[in-house]
Amino acid sequence: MLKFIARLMRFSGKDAWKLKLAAVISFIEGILQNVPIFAALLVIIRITDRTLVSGDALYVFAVLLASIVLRWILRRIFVGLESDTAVYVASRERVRIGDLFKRFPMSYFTDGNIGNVTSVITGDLSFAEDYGMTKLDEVISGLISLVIGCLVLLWADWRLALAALVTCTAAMLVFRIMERLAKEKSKIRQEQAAKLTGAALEYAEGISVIKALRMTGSSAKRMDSTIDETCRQAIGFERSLLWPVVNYVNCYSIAIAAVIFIAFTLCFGGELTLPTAFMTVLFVFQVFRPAMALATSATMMRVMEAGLDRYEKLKEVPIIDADGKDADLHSFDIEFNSVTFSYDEKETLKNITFTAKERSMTALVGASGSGKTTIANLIARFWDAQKGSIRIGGQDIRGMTCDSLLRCVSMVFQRVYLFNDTIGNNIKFGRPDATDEEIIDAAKKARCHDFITALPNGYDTRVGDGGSTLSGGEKQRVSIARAILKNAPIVLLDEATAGVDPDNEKFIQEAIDELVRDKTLIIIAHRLSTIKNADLILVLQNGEIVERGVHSELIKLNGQYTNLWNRRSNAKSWRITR
Amino acid sequence: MKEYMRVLSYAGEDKRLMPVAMTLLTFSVLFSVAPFFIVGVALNAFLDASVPSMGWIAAVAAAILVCLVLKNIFNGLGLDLSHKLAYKTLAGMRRRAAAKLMKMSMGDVQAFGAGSAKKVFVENIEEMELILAHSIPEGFANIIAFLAIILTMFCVDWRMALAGVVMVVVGMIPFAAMMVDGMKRMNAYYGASETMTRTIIEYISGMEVVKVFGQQSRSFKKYSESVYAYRDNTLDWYRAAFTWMTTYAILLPAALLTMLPLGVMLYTGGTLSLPALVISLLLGISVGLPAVRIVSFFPQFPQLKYKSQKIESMFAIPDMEDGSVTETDGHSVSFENVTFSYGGTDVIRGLSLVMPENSITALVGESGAGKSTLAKLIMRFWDVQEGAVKIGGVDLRDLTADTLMGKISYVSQDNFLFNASIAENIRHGKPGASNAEIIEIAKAAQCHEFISEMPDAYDTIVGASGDKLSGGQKQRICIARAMLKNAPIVILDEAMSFADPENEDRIQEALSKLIIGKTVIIIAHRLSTITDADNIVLISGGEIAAQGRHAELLENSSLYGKLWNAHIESMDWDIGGGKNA
Repeated sequence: MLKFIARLMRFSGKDAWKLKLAAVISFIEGILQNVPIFAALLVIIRITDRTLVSGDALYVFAVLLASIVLRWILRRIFVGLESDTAVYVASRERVRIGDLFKRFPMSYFTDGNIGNVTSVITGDLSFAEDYGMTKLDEVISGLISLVIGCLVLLWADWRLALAALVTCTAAMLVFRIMERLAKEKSKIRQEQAAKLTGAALEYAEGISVIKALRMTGSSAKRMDSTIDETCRQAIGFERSLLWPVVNYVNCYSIAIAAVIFIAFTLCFGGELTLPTAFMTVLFVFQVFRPAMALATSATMMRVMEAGLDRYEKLKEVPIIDADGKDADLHSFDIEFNSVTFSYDEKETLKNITFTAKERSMTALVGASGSGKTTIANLIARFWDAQKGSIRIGGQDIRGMTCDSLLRCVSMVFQRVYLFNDTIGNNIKFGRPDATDEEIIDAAKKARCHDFITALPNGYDTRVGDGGSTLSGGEKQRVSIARAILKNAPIVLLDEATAGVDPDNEKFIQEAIDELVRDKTLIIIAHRLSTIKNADLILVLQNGEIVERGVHSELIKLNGQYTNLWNRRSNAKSWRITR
Repeated sequence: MKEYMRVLSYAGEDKRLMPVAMTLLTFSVLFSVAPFFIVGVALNAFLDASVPSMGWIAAVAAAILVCLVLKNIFNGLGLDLSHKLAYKTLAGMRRRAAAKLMKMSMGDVQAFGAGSAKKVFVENIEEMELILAHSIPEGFANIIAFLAIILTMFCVDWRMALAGVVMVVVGMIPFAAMMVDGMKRMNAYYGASETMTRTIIEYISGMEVVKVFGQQSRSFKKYSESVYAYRDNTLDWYRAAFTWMTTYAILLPAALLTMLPLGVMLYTGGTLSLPALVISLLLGISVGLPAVRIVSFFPQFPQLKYKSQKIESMFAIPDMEDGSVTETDGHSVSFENVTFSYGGTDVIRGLSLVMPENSITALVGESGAGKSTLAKLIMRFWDVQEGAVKIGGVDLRDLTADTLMGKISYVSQDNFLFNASIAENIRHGKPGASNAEIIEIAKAAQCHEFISEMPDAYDTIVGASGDKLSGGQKQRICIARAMLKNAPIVILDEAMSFADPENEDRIQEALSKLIIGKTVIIIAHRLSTITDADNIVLISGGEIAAQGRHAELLENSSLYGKLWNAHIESMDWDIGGGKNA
């Protein structure tokens, strides 16, 4: 509980003072809440003294009204402070992490990670934003109520305070148990939630296959059992907290009964005046309320902490170009010098050495998984090689900022991302200071001018999220237009791109021809026939270069390349027959 | 309220837990009020100096303790039941959603989207939990408690009660004002919230592109602007709402403001006894809590309605009706004067076509011509508006879904595998197939080799949607599955397009084995692969433009000729042809 307070305070950074101030104001407001009780008590004392007159009604009203007005002011201030802090801190953190993203390695933004990161920033952070301060207020006023309660009772009689102290301590111990339980159980629950999500996704995505394979009965049964398991777990989770919660609240019930018993007994024995006993009894019913309200907070605090943990973890991603310099390149030979690289234990690339001359075409060839794509990714610094060096124009790329490196590189891979903006602006993204003529010129070169002008709003047509209103091949060509406009001296190209959308294949090929003209081109080749003209062909196998040369030399070797070439030729001439 | 009962109906039998839970919670609230009476009685005894003994005091304290503990226990049990009911309701809704997906036509599933279906299934349904388990049952209990307290107050002294009620009414005014005011600002708030979420997603998803084009600062500016806009809208709403909220949070429990002065006047006027005064005041203090809870209860109903709408919109999609015929006369596929429109536009127009048994029919045409739609109509993704699609002379709509699905194998680029072992995935083609059968099929489908190289071979778990395998590997496993299924009709929907160019020859070999002796329908972009087909059907604008053998079409159809030439050109493409040479 105290850890939770500390956590939120730390998270609030320079706004923590607002929370502290809010806590103080909340404390004062909490004391003022008892004014009506004391006023009622005063009235009763005067009744027992037989000094009450009807004119006192006015005084009582004035006092109560004053306390309400004062409380209104105080409450509005601390509630405002808390919510302002929550909103400011959340937005500040969003901006801060957004700023960090710019410097995360490119390799970080894989499909799986994108989903995670988004859910942390929108989900977890928003949860803390919406409920964090309310919970914080609850916790603080709960604890304060305990302190005030014991102090007031101490003022009345130490025996009362002792009774309260003992029972409240017991309550705190039970609370610790609840916290531990919530932590354990919420982990199990989260795992079950992940299972449910996975099952639901598989079910929804696979529905046509499920039907095609006539698995409707068994799949539905499996899905139902996951649903039931989720339900059972959730009920079990609530049930496991049932008695701890009841016992926690029971502690306060015992405190109330004990205090009343002691107060009455003392009064009966003449050790406590009647008004004091009255006051004690009225007071004790109210004072523990905020502390009791904490009963249901343990779970929520746990959920919030888990969310903040996930968020903090995001910030720990190492930044790849932390000590790079902004370098301007003037020549664009690409040299790999004994480069070795692995994602995990297995070496994906072993001792790769080659030089791709400026304005030449280098083709990477090999079975899938042989390391072709990794080589291209290393040039763009998705990762850094563990051994060896990569130089462009003589400059080691590890000494450069990613920004200055990527200024020289265009990438055309299969994954195309267009922004939810107009087509014109998407192309312009390649070079923000481009004129409309230059944009149209790039679009023409990428063979997309015709389909763009056929759209209702031409270049001003908006593409949906992720470019969903265009066909795959059209998106591909828009992304090539963007790259053409950028006009970077180095082009990294995955040739499979040219075939993803069969109907547009020819247009995409023409667009690529425009893009690579006079560039240093590294191409990940699949079809071999496309790279007959390459200046250098590197044949990869299990992360090593096993053959290198130009087509005419390699085909004579009768080795890997010849083998691949023959297989491709067969595939190319294949036709389906009965 | 109607919405609420409807939502609850998903809990089925467990719906009857609701009155039990509410009764328990009501008792809990009543037990929380009872101690005030006991205290009132005790105070009067002290004032009269009529306290009999220590034992009497102990009894008073014990009675209070019992009431409070019962309150806690009833509250716990009541919430336990309401949680049980809530989770049963969620489970009922999820079962319903799962069943719905199964009953919807595949076309509707596709249009709805797997992502949205998952969202309804998990998130939207989960959102109902808090309302169902806490807000509504507790709200009811508090209303009952509130009424009980007010009623008692009137029994004790109607004037004091009236004074208390006045404050509650006054307290409701700022609440109403907040609701009215909130509605106006809420739209701006939700708008900004959606914009921010969208911008965040775009910022993160597009980060790769942003970095490649060095546009970090521009894109970051857009991102941070949306974050700030959300912040300002939120604050705008919060600040307005908190003023009202503070007002009613303070006024609602402030019954003593009117009651105490009135009590003083009535007592000094001699028309109110001391015990009545004391008990009235105690009741006045305790009426505040349920009052505050009740106001937060009312907005739950529109919330419930809003949240259940998303779910109900999925449930409202019509089912696909199942037929009853299980036998067909052979396995030829025919389209008889079929017209099909989707989203208001005709995709297929009055098309008739016969695809005989043991023959290869190729569907070719430009993108958007309707080739894929034809293939999907055979699988009854949708029902046609006019004409009929028949297998062996039987209208698809008359066949049971099981019969229809048993007759077709569909292979496309979209190769869905279940997150299970490779062997299990293949076995789905024919439940009960032996391991030897599976290995034999895997060999024929050209996947035995790569499967054997994996650490767990056939027991390798493929990961969610098979993401531990390459596209080509997944495809070959799907082909193995289809071979094991051995359905008489095989549809190949662009099945040969670049799932894995390096292993294309292997996929081709697997396909060749799959189609032996079947009614084959193939959609192909690479025309060279289908030149041997028995019938090539050229589709254009949802109609048949020409059909015949390859040589005939080359001769008779200029459109086919155009497609053929484009294909030949792209086959011969070499990058930078001539530039570097």
